[in-house]
Amino acid sequence: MATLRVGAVNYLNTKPLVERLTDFAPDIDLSFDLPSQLADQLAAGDLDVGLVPVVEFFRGDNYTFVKNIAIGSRGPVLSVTLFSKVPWAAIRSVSLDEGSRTSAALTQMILRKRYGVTPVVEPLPIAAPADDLTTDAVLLIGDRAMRACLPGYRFAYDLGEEWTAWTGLPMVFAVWAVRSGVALGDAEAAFHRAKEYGLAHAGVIAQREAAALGLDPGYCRRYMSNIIRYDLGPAELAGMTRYHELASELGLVPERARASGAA
Amino acid sequence: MTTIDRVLAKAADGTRITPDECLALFSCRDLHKLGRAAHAVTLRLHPEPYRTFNIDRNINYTNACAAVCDFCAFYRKSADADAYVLSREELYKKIEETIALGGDQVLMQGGMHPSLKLEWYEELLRDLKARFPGVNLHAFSPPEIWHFHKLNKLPLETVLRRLKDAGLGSLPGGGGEILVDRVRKELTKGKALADEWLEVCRVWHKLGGKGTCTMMFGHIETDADRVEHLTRLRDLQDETGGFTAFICWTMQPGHKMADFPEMGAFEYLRTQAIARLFLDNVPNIQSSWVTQGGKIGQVALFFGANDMGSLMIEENVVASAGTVHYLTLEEIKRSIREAGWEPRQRNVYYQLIDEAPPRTPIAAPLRDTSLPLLG
Repeated sequence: MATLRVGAVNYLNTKPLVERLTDFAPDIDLSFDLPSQLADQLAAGDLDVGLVPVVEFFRGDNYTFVKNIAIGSRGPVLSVTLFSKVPWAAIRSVSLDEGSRTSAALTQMILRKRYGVTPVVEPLPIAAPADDLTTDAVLLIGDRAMRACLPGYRFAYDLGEEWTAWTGLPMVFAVWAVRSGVALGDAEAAFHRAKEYGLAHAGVIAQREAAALGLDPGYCRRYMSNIIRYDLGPAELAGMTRYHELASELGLVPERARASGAA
Repeated sequence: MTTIDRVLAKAADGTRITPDECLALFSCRDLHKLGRAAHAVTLRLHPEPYRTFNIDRNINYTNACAAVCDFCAFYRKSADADAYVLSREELYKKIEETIALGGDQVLMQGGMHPSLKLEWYEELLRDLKARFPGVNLHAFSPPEIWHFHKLNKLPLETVLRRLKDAGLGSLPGGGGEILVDRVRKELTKGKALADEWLEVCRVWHKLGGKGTCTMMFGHIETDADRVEHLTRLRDLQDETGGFTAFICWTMQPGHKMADFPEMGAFEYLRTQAIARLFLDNVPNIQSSWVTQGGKIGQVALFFGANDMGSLMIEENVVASAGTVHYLTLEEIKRSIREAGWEPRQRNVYYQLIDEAPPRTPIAAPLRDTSLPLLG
């Protein structure tokens, strides 16, 4: 069988999905990059399968996804936060971290659909410092949030929590997107085996990764096994579908009814 | 090394940080960095192999209230059709059920009832203490005590001494919200102001009493208000040493503030971590899983908390405002165990009151889907 070119992000929350992936499928060629880069490579045909932000999955050209696997949360996610000087409904301008297109779209949905406000949107480039912002609110993800010093931004809204409180559904942040025309063949089983293995060894992964990230191993493990969720069951699919509906109503993704797994 | 890093290193080493340094921490959005430093403090203060919980029942003996709080959906005016005062029989039944579940305490709070006299409360305490001598009566938040003092036109010390003599065991830290009058006046009407709240605690502590302190945040307060609140608690604790624990939670909006968006887990964990770093003289911090859910309640053990708080058999105030999370005793124990500690039952003084478990290595299950999830 030909090599399957697979791309993923090298973050803590993706570790359980890629931990032993290439052992389970030797014909997988695994590379790591930024989420937005992965989406571009998948679109350009430089990758066959990519762990891409869900909004990129919907923007893709007839992508399917590997069934039952996602990176998501039911409630708080702790790493995607909207900082604001005012409560949601009073936000008139917002800076959106370009490092996360899924969360940027999610922020717009909550503002426009839940609170009925359409603030001025300012992109915050990946390399730009997040200090000295003038907008009412700023969406920051992961590391960027950690380095920012934002005096005056009194409100901190966890977007995973906000989504679930609003819709009653889990939030899916990323899926294994498969480019149209790519046959997974035997490799599909490897994705599932890798996930099972990764979750079963969350403690080991946490022990190994915690020090480099400066985290407590116990916390690291809870984060991987309780905060982040890797299943893509009926509730998650409903969350994904709802996200797609809202995103297409706002013109953030093409309007195509779809949420089908790879055959 | 940034200012933030210097402050964190200082606090983690056990050196007291200043209010200005605390304010600098509130500008830091690095949740994990704050959590790590707070956890270092927790591990230094609590190297023991266990984490604690207690079993009590939250009994709201009345919902009639002389105060009006913008965020409270629980209170009623005494003339309202659904205003109530629990009968003795109802109280007995609730306490018997608590004992049957292994509880050793009831948390009794109102309502600040507009007309019940101090004698009514003394009788109540005496009666309950005579029937249930082993049960700690953790009762009457400082605003209620202040209200008794005003209503009965008696010195605060007299009120507290009489209640103590009648069987009052310890003082819950409710109604603290934010101890800054500008904030209190905006949110509440007819309720103890900051100095008054603190004075109740001060007098109680000087009578030898113990109690908890709290902070409810995420509404109209600024970072500076939070720092002032924490500073006032720390100063009083320096003076009296009467606080056994600190508990904080995000406002659960109800009533006039029902549409006010609640701040979430990120801000809860961040604030609790900063509180652990600043309150160097408060021995324990309770996780607030009742407002945050089991998942975050457990993670809180890595962000400054060393106690899972109470298995609340009943909760009305938070429930009236909307979200309320329930865990069973087994779930509380399991979440402590899975986080890597032994679960132990304690009393209000943080003394262990359960049988010491056999010393077995903790083998956490490989995966769990047992903790309750939001939604």
